[in-house]
Amino acid sequence: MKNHELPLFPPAAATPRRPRPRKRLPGPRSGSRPRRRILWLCLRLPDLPFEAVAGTWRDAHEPCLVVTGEGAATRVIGCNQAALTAGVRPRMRLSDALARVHAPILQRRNPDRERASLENVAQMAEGFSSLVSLAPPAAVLLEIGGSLSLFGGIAALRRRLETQVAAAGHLPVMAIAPTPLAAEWLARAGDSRPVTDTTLLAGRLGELSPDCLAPDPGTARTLAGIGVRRLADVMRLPRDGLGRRFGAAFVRSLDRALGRVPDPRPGWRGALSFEESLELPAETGDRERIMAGLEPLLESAVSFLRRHDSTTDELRLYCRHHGGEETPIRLGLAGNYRHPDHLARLFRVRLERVALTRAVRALRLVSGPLRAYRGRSVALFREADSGEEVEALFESLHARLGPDAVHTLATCADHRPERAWRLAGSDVTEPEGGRADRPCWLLETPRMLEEGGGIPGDMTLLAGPERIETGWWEGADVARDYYRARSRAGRELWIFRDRRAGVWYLHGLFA
Amino acid sequence: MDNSLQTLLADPRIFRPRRDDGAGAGHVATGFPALDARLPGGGWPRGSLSEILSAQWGVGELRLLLPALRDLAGRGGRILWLSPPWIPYAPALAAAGLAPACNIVTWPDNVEDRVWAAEQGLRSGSCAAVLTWGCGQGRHHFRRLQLAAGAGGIPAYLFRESGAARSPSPATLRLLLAPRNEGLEVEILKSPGGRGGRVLLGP
Repeated sequence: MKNHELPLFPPAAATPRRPRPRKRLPGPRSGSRPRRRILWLCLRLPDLPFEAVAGTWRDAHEPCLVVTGEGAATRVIGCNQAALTAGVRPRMRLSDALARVHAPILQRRNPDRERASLENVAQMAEGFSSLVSLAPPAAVLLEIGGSLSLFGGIAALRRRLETQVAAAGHLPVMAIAPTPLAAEWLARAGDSRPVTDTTLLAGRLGELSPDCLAPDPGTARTLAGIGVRRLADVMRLPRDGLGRRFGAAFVRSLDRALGRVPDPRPGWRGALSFEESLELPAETGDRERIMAGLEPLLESAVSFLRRHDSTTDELRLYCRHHGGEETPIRLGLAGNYRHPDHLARLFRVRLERVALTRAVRALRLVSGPLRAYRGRSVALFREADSGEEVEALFESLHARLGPDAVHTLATCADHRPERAWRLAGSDVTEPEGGRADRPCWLLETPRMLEEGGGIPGDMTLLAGPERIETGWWEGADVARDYYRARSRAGRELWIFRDRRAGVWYLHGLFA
Repeated sequence: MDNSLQTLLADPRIFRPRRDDGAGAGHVATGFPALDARLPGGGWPRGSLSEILSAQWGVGELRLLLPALRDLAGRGGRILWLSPPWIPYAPALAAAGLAPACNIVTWPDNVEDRVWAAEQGLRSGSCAAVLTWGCGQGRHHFRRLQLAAGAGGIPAYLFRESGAARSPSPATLRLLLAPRNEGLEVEILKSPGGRGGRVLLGP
């Protein structure tokens, strides 16, 4: 096989500086043992549109069709064996298909379900490789070079993966090649013989039909027009002409498939969340027994979070009753909490507030989406407070008093006294604008002191006036003269006279 | 490991320049030398209840507490305010040196929740002081708060109407406030050393 040295990329036209990847990925003939062979397995699900929405009908006696498109353009995109036997073929018009089968079960194609099925397969693939990448719409790539010795070779790994994927209702096509794109092309061609050596890659890819590149219709027509039947014909063409005619991306994809330029693939990580349920030993309405059942669930939730180095914003506990109904109990988590005892305390508080009208048979604990754990360093000498403890306090208070009932204070830059402060959340750090001439207590709404114009009779003014006249631009304008006054009872008050109405108000106390 | 470290640090032979207090006596200076001189231990007791009684609020109770709160919060703890009669005004607190963000304020609906929240604050390890108004009616409430304060080792302040002075209380310290023209008069109703008396804090 010498195809890879045929004139596709003659040294003059190819980038001469780039060393051949063969040198970096020594094959078995290079004498020394290969340290780490990179091999990509492409798991393609050619029948995914059908499997995603109608997997259970595959072996049914009734014909079942999955269709896409609207009106007269509706086409069959997948069907089961019963329909195939009756003569239905994929890509057939629905009207033609209906002429062949009588009253089939019709399902519309659902891209969301296809994506979900694909991710489900990717999740299985994670059991076989640490690097899994999605190749939508219908393929998953996994790097198996590092897993071969664990699973006992290519054949054994393939068998196990195929069994798992088939159990989920899919009929996969698998191809193995040293580059991900070559594996994709081989899988699209249905060629499942593994290519393990880069030197053999050009020859094997040369046998494929150019359709495997999934070219756009224009390119496909031109390729057919210039007499290209196999990829080997493409490789024989001069590189610069190929680039002019079909674009640099086309040449580049050939380079990637042949392993001449790197082809990094994004790793895929599933959207994870924790879910586990537990049957209680006996039906019970007793909170202590429920807590006793909940504790192992919390332990395993916490160990799950630790394993994934994550934390979550909420935990939902579903108490299942006789008959399958569930009482949900939601627990919001502000902090980075990964201690089961703390979670148990919070749930205990929540449980005390929930009226469980019926006995509970089983518990189900579900986490919200995971997010990265923000680690905190622990002070060697315990001097300052640890933020975790503050968060824990906020969480307990929120759990019992309600999420909107607990505040910290903050100052605001506003001349209107009632707007110079605000209630804030748990994590506010702002520069403070303090004013020594302000009272420590503020009335939420000023209290009218007395009708009429003069100073309230039992008060003596100590300081003032301080005129505050602002806010007219947003309809909340004030025109006030503030005074510091002493009441007959000996309290120092912060009062003001509304300059428009001439009425005195109490707004604060210098306590 | 934490415990062994604490034990080690408690060894008197180890010099710690930023030690909180003398021999772990557990007092916080009030910031008023005249008052400190009268109080056993020289300040507010940590880990127990201090009652502050007054006929009405706004007479100077915060002026009395702010120096101590500033010291307590300055070490990183939070101040938990439970059902204060009015809003603690952030600009004034900031001017007094108490960062507004250090304060946690909540107005629970009923006494049970207030006592519970006070216990949480006292035991949490993240609060430097807990201030409660209208918290506790029966002896069992005070008992719970006393236990929680003891566990947390921080001062707990109960603000109560002056009428409560007649009924017995488990609080370590009971002070009665009265505004005078010359300043705030603090009468020590009860203190562990048994020394009563009145102190006038100037304006």
